[in-house]
Amino acid sequence: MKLNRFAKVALVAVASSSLVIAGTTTSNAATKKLKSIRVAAVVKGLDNPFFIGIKEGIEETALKYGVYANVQAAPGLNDDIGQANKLDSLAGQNYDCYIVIPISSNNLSQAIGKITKKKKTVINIDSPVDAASLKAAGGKITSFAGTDNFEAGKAGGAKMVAAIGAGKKIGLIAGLAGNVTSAARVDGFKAGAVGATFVGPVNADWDTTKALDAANAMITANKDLAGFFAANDQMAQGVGKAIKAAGLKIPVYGVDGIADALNEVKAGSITATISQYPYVMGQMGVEACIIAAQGGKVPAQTITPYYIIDSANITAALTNKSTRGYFPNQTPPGAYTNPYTKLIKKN
Amino acid sequence: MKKISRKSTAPSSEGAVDINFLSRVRSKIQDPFFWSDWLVVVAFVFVIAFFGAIAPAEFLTLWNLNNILVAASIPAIIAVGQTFTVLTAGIDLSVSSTMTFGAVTFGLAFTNGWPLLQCVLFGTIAGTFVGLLNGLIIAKRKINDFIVTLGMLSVASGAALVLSDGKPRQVISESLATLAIGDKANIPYLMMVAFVIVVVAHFVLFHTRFGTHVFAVGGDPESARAMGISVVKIKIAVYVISGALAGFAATLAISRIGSAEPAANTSILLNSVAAVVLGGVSLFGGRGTIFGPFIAALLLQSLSNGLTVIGVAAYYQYLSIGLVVILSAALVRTDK
Amino acid sequence: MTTKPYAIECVNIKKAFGSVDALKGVSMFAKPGEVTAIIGDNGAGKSTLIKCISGVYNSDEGEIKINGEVVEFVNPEESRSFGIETVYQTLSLIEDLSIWQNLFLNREITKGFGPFKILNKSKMKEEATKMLKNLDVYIPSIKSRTRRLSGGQRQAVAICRAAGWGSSVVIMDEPTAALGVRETAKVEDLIKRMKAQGLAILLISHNFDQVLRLSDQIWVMRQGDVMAGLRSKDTSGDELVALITGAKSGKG
Ligand SMILES: Nc1ncnc2c1ncn2[C@@H]1O[C@H](COP(=O)(O)OP(=O)(O)OP(=O)(O)O)[C@@H](O)[C@H]1O
Ligand SMILES: [Mg+2]
Repeated sequence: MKLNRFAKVALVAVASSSLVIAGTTTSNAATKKLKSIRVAAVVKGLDNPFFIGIKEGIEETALKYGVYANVQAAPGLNDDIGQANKLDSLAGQNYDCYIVIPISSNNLSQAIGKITKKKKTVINIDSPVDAASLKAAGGKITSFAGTDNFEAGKAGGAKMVAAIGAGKKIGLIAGLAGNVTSAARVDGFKAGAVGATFVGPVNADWDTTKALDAANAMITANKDLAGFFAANDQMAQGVGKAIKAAGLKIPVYGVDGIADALNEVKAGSITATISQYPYVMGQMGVEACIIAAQGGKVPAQTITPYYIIDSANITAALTNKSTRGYFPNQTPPGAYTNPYTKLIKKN
Repeated sequence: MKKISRKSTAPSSEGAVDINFLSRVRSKIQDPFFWSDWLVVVAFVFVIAFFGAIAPAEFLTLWNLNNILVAASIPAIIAVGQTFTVLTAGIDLSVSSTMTFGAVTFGLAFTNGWPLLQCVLFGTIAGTFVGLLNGLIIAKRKINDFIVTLGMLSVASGAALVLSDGKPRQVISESLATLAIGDKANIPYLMMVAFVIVVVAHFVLFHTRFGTHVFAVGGDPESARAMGISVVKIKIAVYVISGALAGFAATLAISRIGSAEPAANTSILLNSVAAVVLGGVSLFGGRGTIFGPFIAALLLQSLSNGLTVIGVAAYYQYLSIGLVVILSAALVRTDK
Repeated sequence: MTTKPYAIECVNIKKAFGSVDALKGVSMFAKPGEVTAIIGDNGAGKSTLIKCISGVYNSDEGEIKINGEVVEFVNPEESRSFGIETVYQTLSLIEDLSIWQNLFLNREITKGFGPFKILNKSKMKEEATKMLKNLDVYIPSIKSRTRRLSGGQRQAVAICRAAGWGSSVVIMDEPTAALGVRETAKVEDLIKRMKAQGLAILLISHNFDQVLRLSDQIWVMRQGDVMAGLRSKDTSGDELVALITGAKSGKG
């Protein structure tokens, strides 16, 4: 899963804001032609739709601009060293820019250090690289694009309170105990749900069945529950079942925007999912690479969009597929800011 | 186990030298064991030649060959340990989590301000301890090695999670960074460390009584026991070796990724078993070399590196590496 | 002779495998400078008895004396260090080790000291060649894997190994079972030579002619019991058959 995703974003922000002043990195001569730009990406294991979404975003964006992209993944789950080997293999090659998603916050730092020594650009997306280890390895990250789980949760909290009214009781279902992503989402939700009172959070380990059991117990103990928030979609699915079984009509929100959850939003068993956009992350990664290769100034840090998908926009989300059509909801059904696109010179 | 390279120089007293030599060459070539010993070398040369031919400018650069050597160092060390267990007809499925356990203990020591060498020692001892437990249970209680080490895989990774509270510990050290990225005469330090271990292991296996007894126990435990060899002691020893090497390899892993990670990396296990099989070690025990698995570790990393370098998509890489392992296992299958 | 203790003496040895009573109280002896034969049908307990003597099995009950000394071997290494060498029915050769490695298995010659002891391979090969020559066995190369040897060659190597260690007792479990006429003659020759050197030989064989030809003392076993102990010169093949099949009771 997207563990630790936002854990150290603050650190990176500090580190990379100083980097962006040095900013534009390499490209000495005239603006590079789009066709001659070569991008390499090393993502996490492709055993998770989220990272496949990122891969799609990178490949389709590269296609759109006519740049070359080679997307590689860690050879296996948790294979931090194998992932570093991949980046090492690519680092010696003729690429202008490298997009990285580290498995752990440290494992790619040395490889990035080697790339920096070759005066090539590194763009970090999704999970941030730890600033201290990066510094120790002499590495530099030109731009970071990732989600902010706290903000996503916060938006969900605000939306739910607006729907059910202030001063109500909301049940909270969290992921694994101690997991940073889960904590950020739940804390964000609480911060956004101004005036509400909370039951939980109870840890349901990202699991549908465990979430169902937890929600059942909460409903039994609290007859006056007015809504539920689950830290991911799988758990929201479980909560939806519990609500239905209890014959209640209260909202449940999930996070992620996975395909199953979108279908359930359409069917009405989940009220809303706070959707994140891996495809957009991939896209922004490639665009940042192009800007750097063209000698432009790359924004140091970008929060990738989240969007609350509910009955109002579900049809738009479901039809919004990628060119290859693997996933619905590739990009948000409404407006979002992408600071990169406008900086690219078409040539 | 003995290679043709060791042909004796002293002419034999009976018969002419050249006829003797020719017949020996012929009998070697007809011996299926000869091919299982040398297949990996042939395959390795083939892989290098293949990628060298289609991407000479990218694959055959010093930088890239260096990367392969670095990437192969940890798998090589783990494969050496695995070779010992497989030679006794056993297997150590817990290597990856033993390494993780070693890394976590290293990380604990490091965050407590211990000197680096003591951290290395601590991690190695932790791995040795896991290996000792494996060995004691397998040899003394006579429980199936597969089951014991499969259980230990879970136990050691659980212990690593408990000890670390599931959190990585950053290990930033100048010396470790030098170890990880430094080289002498274009040979990375990491590979030097691995190579020293390979040479020592080869020596132990082929030039000490212990080594001979490992082969004997693996080849035929009943007969080895009848000849007075303590099968129990040998079995314990090979798991201790495997555990110790996994614990030691944790140092190299930490040097490469800059932190002690609490989550076990199962690729390490798959790689070690693949290297041992590819390297011509019989899974039935009693037959094999150290250099075979070592070359196999290099081969596997060259393959992975080459496929990345020529831009083969990730999905096809899994496929092709798996195919190579199965294919070569089928080719070297001369057992019984 | 009479003052000399027995090379091997077993008193009331019992051994059971689960519910199978393989040995039900066996008493026998073997004298130095003699060939002592053990005969009996398949499953009579002959191999089990010698495995108890050599320490492969630990007997459940009873006493084993070697040269008058009560011993309790818990593993084969202890019996070997007592000068007892055994050629088991299965030969105990490691197929994938070379011939010289098998000859020196667990008796390897090393050089150096302490933890730096390394195998002295050239010395072992040299000695191995000598050991085989002594027995007049033809083996193409002592460096080839044992797996490649014929049944007879294997047996010869196994016997060679047992004979080669300056032992005082050599136990052989059907040493000529797989051998041709020529090889059998050689092994019998060797047995005579070892006997002449004053060794105690314990021989298990199904070949009565051979037993009568070679042995001085014969123990007949049936279903885990010793039926009779006879001097070879006082018996005949017919009597042995009768004892083995139970047609004649030796104990009464
Ligand atoms: N390890 C064992 N486990 C169980 N039973 C055994 C074992 N070894 C021998 N036996 C049993 O003990 C009995 C005696 O066996 P043993 O091998 O001593 O016979 P033997 O006289 O050597 O026969 P043969 O002439 O066929 O070699 C047999 O019934 C056999 O099945
Ligand atoms: Mg028998």
